[in-house]
Amino acid sequence: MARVLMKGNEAMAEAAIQAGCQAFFGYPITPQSEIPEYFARELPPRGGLFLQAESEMAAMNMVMGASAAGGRIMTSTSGPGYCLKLEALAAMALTRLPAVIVVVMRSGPAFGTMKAAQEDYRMTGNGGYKVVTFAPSDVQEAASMVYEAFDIADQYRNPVVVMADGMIGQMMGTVDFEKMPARRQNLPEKTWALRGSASRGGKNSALLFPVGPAHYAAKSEAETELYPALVRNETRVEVTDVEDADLVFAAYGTAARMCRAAAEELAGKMKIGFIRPKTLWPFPYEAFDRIGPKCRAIICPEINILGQMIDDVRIAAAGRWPVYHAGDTAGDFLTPENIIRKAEEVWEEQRV
Amino acid sequence: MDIVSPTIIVGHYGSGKTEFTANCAGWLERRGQRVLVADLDIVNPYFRIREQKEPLGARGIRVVSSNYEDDYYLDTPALAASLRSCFEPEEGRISLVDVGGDPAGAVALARYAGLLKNRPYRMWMVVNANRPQTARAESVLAYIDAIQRSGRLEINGLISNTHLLRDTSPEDILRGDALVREVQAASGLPVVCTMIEERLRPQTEHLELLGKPFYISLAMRPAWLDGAGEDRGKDK
Repeated sequence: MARVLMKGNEAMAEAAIQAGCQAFFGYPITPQSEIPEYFARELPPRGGLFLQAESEMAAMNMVMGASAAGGRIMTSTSGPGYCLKLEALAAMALTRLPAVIVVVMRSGPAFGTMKAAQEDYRMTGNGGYKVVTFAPSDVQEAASMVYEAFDIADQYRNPVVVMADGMIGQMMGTVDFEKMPARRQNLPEKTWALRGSASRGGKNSALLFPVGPAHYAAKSEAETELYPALVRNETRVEVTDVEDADLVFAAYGTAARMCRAAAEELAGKMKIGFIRPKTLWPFPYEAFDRIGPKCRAIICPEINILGQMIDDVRIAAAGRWPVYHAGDTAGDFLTPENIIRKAEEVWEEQRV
Repeated sequence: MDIVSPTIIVGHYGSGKTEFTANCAGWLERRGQRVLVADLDIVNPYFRIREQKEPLGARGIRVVSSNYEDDYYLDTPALAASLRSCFEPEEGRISLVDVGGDPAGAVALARYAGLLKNRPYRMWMVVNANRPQTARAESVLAYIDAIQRSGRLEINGLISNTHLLRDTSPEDILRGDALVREVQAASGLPVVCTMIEERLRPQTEHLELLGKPFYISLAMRPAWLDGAGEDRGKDK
């Protein structure tokens, strides 16, 4: 396939199939419904299984079961459905079961609106687990991240989340599937997978949720081995022009695209640096250490009120620079113009 | 373009229906026509013509959609009662009907089909060869058939719109032309026009296309979506 034109949602689904996704369990919700639609059409003829469950919860528990059986499994949803998937996701993280979960964020709660948003940054289930969380900023990147997510999930035996916002899911973009990231070699064999007693010489086997002392052992292993390895190996960030910046924009996904447009507009007036986390966890704290001495402040535009990623940006800033939120406006969606206005305001305030 | 009222725009989602509608409305208005735009898309709340209500309204072009049209991201697939008038004849007014993508989107059309019995109408399908689902003539023909069945009206023209957003080259347009030629040969449907972005006019004027060029400027795509330089920074 040469370069084609696809919606972000379609591109993520196609990338998953090319990455060897064997089964998809899901439930429709705007703005991600093109993902299950695509799987429903494409996956069965290409040898996989598509199942629309009766609810998001049911779908996620099916993901858990199919993953325990050793498959490459995916589900997708939006914020309201992600809430319902979290219990099973937490169980999978504790039991160390790989899967890929795509979340296409909209402004919640469910009765609100279906407009794109970045409101699920903080959403995690209980149990204190961590999962690699990708944040694509265009259609090609959304496809690449989903493609790679399957290998990361299998390499570490841990779920991976791809957190796109509604605009990334719904926008059209060009995709070249020949430019997917390289497949990882030497992925561990799934010796733990439940493939039926016949696969173990007639012996039954089970994959148990770790309870009692095993529960703490599993968490300790995650804390001391798994999560440090993920932080070390899988942190991704794009950093541009921060060394001599007057102001730095820190943003992901669609807000990052708006920041680029805003930075171009502001070029004559001030020098804008740019930090775009491509993984929201692990968060690229160290990228902020590269900001130069001229910098007066960091602005963190997000498509939400108050800001969510902004707390990690504040931790990364460690008091060295003031950090400002730019976000939802009273009238409508965040725009590059809102970001420009905020930058000019902050610049006036900070230059004296 | 031989436009009558109503002219209905259908096709695969993402093929460029709404871009055509927005540009066609402006083109008609510049020629002194009174234009009414109907937004029949109840499949997907993103990138719909009702988002252009204000800019089009400022030019005297009315956009009718849902009775909740002021909150166009509400999850209510509601159609305004006044949409019916778009399918009824009115002296000196042309209505353009922008339909939701795919056969699923065309379902909304079926309830108005009866109003067009024994009356002339245009129903044009936008075709983009760079969309994998409509890259080949057989799949375009299957789409035509499926949209006609769910919309209960007949497609009577094709709009050639093969592009790759800002990376569109004359080769894309030629490939799209070859596709609609093939579809025309199989179906007999005329090619109404070829959509070409205004900035590509100098590079494409010499091309021999089955559908006459219809030069457009992108109305539905905010400029920041195609900002310069993807990922200019260094990866960690």
